[in-house]
Order: sequence, then C-alpha cells, then structure tokens
Amino acid sequence: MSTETDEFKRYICKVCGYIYDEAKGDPDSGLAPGTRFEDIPDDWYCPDCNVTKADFTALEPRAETADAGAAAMAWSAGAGAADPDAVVIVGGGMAGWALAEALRERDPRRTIRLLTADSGDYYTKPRISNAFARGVAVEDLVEESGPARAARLGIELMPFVRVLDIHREQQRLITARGGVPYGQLVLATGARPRRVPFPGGAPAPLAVNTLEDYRALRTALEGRDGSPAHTRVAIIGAGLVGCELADDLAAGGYPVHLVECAPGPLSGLLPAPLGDDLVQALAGHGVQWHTGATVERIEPVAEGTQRLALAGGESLEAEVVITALGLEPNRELAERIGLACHQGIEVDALLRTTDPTIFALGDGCEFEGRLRPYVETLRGQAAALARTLAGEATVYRPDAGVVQVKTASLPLNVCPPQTSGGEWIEIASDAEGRHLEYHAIGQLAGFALSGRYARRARELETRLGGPVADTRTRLAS
Amino acid sequence: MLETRTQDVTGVSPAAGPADADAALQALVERDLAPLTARIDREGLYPEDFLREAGRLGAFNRHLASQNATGTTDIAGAIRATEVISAECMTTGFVAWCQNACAWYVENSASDTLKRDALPKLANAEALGATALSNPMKWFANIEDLKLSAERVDGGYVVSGALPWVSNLGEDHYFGAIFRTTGANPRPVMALINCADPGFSLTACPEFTALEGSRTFGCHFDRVFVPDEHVLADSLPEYIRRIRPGFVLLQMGMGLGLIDGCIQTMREANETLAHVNGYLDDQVGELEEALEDGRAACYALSETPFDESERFFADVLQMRLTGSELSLRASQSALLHAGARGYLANAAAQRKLRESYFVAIVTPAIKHLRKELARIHAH
Repeated sequence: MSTETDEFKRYICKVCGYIYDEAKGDPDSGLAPGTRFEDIPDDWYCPDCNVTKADFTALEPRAETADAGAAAMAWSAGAGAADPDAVVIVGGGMAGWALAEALRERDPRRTIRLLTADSGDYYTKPRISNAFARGVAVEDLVEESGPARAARLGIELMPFVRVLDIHREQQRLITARGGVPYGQLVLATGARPRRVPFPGGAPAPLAVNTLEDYRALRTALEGRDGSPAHTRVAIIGAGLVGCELADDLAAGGYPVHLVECAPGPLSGLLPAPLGDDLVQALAGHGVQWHTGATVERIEPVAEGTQRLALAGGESLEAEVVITALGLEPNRELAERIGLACHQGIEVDALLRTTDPTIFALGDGCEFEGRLRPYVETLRGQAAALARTLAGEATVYRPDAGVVQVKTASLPLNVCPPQTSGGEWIEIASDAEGRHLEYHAIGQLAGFALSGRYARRARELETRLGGPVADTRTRLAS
Repeated sequence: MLETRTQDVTGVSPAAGPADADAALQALVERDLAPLTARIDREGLYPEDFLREAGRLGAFNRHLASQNATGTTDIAGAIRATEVISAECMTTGFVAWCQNACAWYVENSASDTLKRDALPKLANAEALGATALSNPMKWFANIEDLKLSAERVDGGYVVSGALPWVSNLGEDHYFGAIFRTTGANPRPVMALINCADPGFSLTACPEFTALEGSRTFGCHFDRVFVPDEHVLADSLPEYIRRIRPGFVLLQMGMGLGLIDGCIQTMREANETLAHVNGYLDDQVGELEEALEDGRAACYALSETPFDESERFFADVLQMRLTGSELSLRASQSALLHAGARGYLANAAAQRKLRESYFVAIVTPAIKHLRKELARIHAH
C-alpha cells in the first residue's frame, strides 16, 4: 500500500488521452481526491471513453521534439499583401534566379516574387558534373540558401510551392498555399531528364538533373559498404551529362560502364576525331565503353546488383544504374493554360509567350525553333528579359551556342555549325588536343576544341561569321 | 490511365462553384437540412433522413467510378457536394465525408465481396459508413501507436482494443479500421467492420463543443471476428499510398463549404452593419478571392487522385493546411461581422466558429500537417 506521503502520480488513458490525476481523483465516479490509481476498483471506467483501468499507463511527459527547422519555417499564407503589379517568376533554378538578380539590378523597387517547388537553395548546376573530381560534398554545392539569397536581392521567395493552374484573365497563379497575383509572369520551369522505362523488374534507374537527384545518387553510391571499386556504375546515354558523370565517377574510383546507342559519344555535336579522342580519354580513366549498344532489359540479379541485357546478347552488371538520355522541357503548365508550345514553350524575340504578360526563359523555352539548354543561354536571356521587364523592350540575341563539355579527362568546347554544306578543317592537332573549324562558304561557321586548345573558344566566338583562309587540312567527313 | 473529371454531369465547369453545380442537392439542403441545423449542433440530432435522401440524389457516389453514371473518379464533384452541405451545416458535411471515405476504402480495395455487397449501398447511403483512420494516420506520422491488435485465426482475424471517438456510427454502420497483427509476420491490416459484428460495442462519448450530431462514439473491440473477405488491404503501404490523396482531398469539402457559409453570414451582417464592418480585417471580397483560389487549387489537385508521388501528396497536405487556416480566418471574421447577434446560442456565426476549429483539429490537424510537411521538405 502506498502512503499519504508519496507524491501523487498521473495516469493516461491509452485510448483517448484522459489523464487520471491521483490528487484530483474522479469525484463524478465516486473516486475522492487522493485515490491512488492502484486503489481504483476494476469496474471503474474512463470517464471520457469507457475503457477500464487496464488501458491506463503511468504518464511520462514526452520531450518536445519539434525540430527547429520546422518551427522556423514560415507558415503564413503569404499571399495576403500581394502586389498585383509584381513580377512573378516560376522556377528557382539558375534561370529563375539569374532573372531575379538581373531585374533587381535594373529596378530596385519592383516587387519580385519567386516560386519554386524545392527549397530555393542556389547552386550552379554544371558544378554537379565534376563534384567528385573536385572533392566537393553535396552540401557544399549549395552556394547560398534560398532565404539568404532572397533577402540579399530583396525579393520574396515562396519555397515548396508548385503552380497548379494559372488564371490568365485574372492574372493569378493557383497554388495549394493560395492565389498569387502577377503583373508579369515568367516561366523558368526548366526541363527534366527524359526517362525510358526498361522491362525486367529492376528499380527505375537514377537520373541526375537537380541537386536533389544528385544527393540521391551520392547516397546510392556512398551508402554501400566497401570501397568505390566494389560499386559498379552503368550510365545509359553518352551525351553531355552521361560523359561528364562517367568521367567524374571514374575519377572518384568507381568502375563505370557507359552505354550509348550511337556509334560514338555526343553524336551530332562532336566531329568524329574528337569523339574518338573522348572515348580514349575516358577509357584511359577506366570507363568501359559500349557504343552502338541498346539496353533491352534491366533485371535485379542479387541484393543491390542489376544486370543490363544489351541487344545482341552482351550483358553487364552494375550496382548503380543511371540514365542520361537528354532533357525534356517542362511545358505541361504552359500547355494547360493554352500557350503555344512545340518542343518547349515558344517565345518571341522579347522572350514573350503567346500571352503578352507571360514570358519564358531557360531550358524550358524554345526560341527560333530550338531548345538551348545551356547556362550561357539562360544568362543572355535573363539579361535581355530583365531590361524588357524594367520597361526597356530588349530583343534577345542568342549567343553562338558554344557547348562546354566539362570532362576533366578531356575538356571540350564545341560550337556546332548551324549550317550545312561546309566542312571540318583541322587547324591544330597534337597529343594535348585539337583545334577544328567548320568552314562554309569561306566563313567560320563552327568549331570544336579539345584539351589545351579548348581555351581558344572565346576568341573563335568573336570570329564566327568572319572570313577564313582555306589552306588547312580537310578531314574526311 | 485514370479517367478524370473535367466537367460534371450537368456540364458546369468545376470552377463555377457548388451553387451552380448542384441545384438539386442545394434545394434539398435548404428544404430538409437547414431547419435542423441548430438542433443537429446543439441537441445532437443525427441527420439520418437527410443523408439517405442526399445519397439517393447521388451526393456520395461521384468519387466512385464503379458506382456512378459517368464511370469517373470525380473527386472534385464529391468535394462540391460536401461543400453544399457544409456551407449550411458542417456536422452534416463531416458525416458526408465519413460516408465518402468509407466507400472510397471499399472502391479501392481488393475485396470483391465488399464491392458487391457493401459498396452499392454505401454509394447511395442505403448503408452508412465511417472512417476510423485517425489513429492509424497519426501512427503513420509517428504521433501515436496503433490501438487495435488482431490474432490470426482460421479464415480471418480476431480483433481487440478500443478507439476513442469515431463518427457517423450506428448499430449497423460500416467503418474502415486498421489493426496490427500479432504472432508471425506482424503487420498492419485494414478491414471493413460492421457495428453489428459480435463482440463490437459502442459507448457514448462526453459532450463535444460542436459536431454533436455526428454520432460519435467510442469503439470497443472484444475479440471481434473479421473474415478474410472483409479485409480491405493486407499490403497496407501500397494501399495507403493509393487512397491517401483522395482521403485528404475529400475533406476539403468541409473547409471550403464552411468558408462559403461564413461569407454568406458576413453578407447578411453587412446588410445592416456594412458601415462599421468595413473596419474589420478579412472582408467579403478578400475571403471570396481566397475561397475561389482554394477551390481552383483543390479541383486541380483532384484531377490526379491516384498520383502516388510524395511531391503530389505534399501539395495535397498543403492544400488541407491552407483550407484549415482559411477556415479559421473566415469564421473569426464572420463572428466579428455579425457582432452580438452572432453570439446568440442559435446564431450561425458562433456555430461556424466552433465548426472551423473542428476543420483545424480533425485528423490531419494543423500541427500534424505542419509536422508532415516539415518532414517531406527536409532533406
């Protein structure tokens, strides 16, 4: 028996949360204040839910565990004091942020609001491609947190918000956090990796386009026991991303298989000699090439291991499978509201969509019938569009479209010709790289540089369209 | 692919709102429900006749592709019906959601027996149903433990335990419940229970501050036998991923309808008090705009109820949170607009204030939603 000197205890009903406090008793049920829990008769019922005392347990207050991050998040509805004249940017990738920054420089007062489906943290996407070689941790790829960048630029950031619909007549975005009015709207919705389903029952391959994707890749790679040498990686697609990732993961010590259905890497972009050079450079770092090969099935074979069956009977095994099959513009939102779209969201020379209050830039937009999913392009677009939005209508003039291939084993700068009927000319070639030019009707129409010659890109860019002397070695095409 | 609704049967676009979309249900609400609203709220009158009649009108089958004339999963249509009801009486709107949720479980289950025997009756309210998933939802979010457990026996399970308060129950009502199996391969299993099942009993709850007419009871399982044919899902994670967006979206009819009702109350008050109500925060126009934004977002999300991605579910949870926050704002403003007359015991304004807190605390409550969203948004 307990004595009166014991402290009173409290017991909680596991079913409904009613608390029996010995000090207070339950006078309505005939239990006087001070009645010990153990002295409660068995036919007593919880006054709130009628279970018996067997369903009670001693009350142990729970620690407060709400993490600081949750408490710190801004939960206010946000759109209350909305400015109907605001420039609203949808998309927090490089294009969206570049525009916010350029517009703020031109117009210190205009309300700029940036909505993004992720946290809004700022990172430079191309840096993902060589993070291993540079020894950069995922967290260190974030150059500035979203809130910090927004505060520095004096813009309003709405993170973790997806635009569900746009009411064009009311100039209003519809989101699960409420409506957001706009004066002018900019779609910087980007592109996503093209995904191809493979039969065979293996989990869907990884694809790397965002920091989030990259984090998942690093987790998949580093979550396994043992050294990188025991984690084989298969990359399907030897385009820009596939080659860069293959080179970087090989540098990180991972055995890499690179599978490409075309006869060589970066087909359509690289003239043949540079393609061969790239194959050799990557092979020299341990990348195993499978060109002219198509993956037919991916099957799980053992815990964490998958087998890729290639057309023709060859097969290979890997612990991590990545697809890098190019990008698809995110145009669903634009299509939903009836903006003209082809491959991407169509824009005119002012980067306007078919709605004069809605603009688009970056990987998701299509200008003069072409997609230009390159950093150089989005910077040029952001600069021109910022002027236009600040009241100075400015025509966007596309850059030459120089593509940087950041394969550390063999860096490449390629300006693919936009014309046919010319030919590739070898200007220089040695053990440390090549300098090729595309000459058409006596003019420089493109170039492809590798290794130590890659740095000539800037100078050659200024000479594009200029006359060339036709005295060099022609390449068999 | 799922056939989703773009237009309801009357051809009215969803954005047009409930008033235009469902004239027959609206008329029934005005004729049969409105005269009872105060008694439902204060005396605990259960609106059974209204529910049966609304069911006959097709208010509860719109989200059930197997049970409606269009063969589509019209979540937005189901939400709109609940809005029409909730704008007048949210107790009834709440039990309408219970009914919708119960049928949603069966529609998406693997039980042919239940789809044949129970679902058609739930779809037209010949049978009434409830959802006892508050506890499991909190269990999924690491807020509570599961309160029911079950032993495997020949041909089914024997379930024991108790749930504190489950609404829309009656002596022959159905409800969906999740229990944890004991013994080999312990796992959560979901089944449809009937209140008439031997060993099952209901006990009265203490009086609540609102929603008294929702027939809310404590549920006691004393070795209740659940045959295998009544199991809704054994592979629970997959099943929950499938039903959860619809489950939460269907709740939106309560909040959206309540806000609509609050705006009506404000309009009525403004007929005589506009000259002073103009000094209040949250005017009719602002709330109407926010309501239309909420409806548009909610109906847009309703187009893809079987999107199982976490990103989509985060939007659904955010939508639910926005609905709760807006409900609180709207009911507060409604009471302030109505003033002392809104404070009378039979006044709509003070009832809507109490109802709005129900929207905010019924599972998933505001705190629960914020906890889940913080988890999803954390890296």
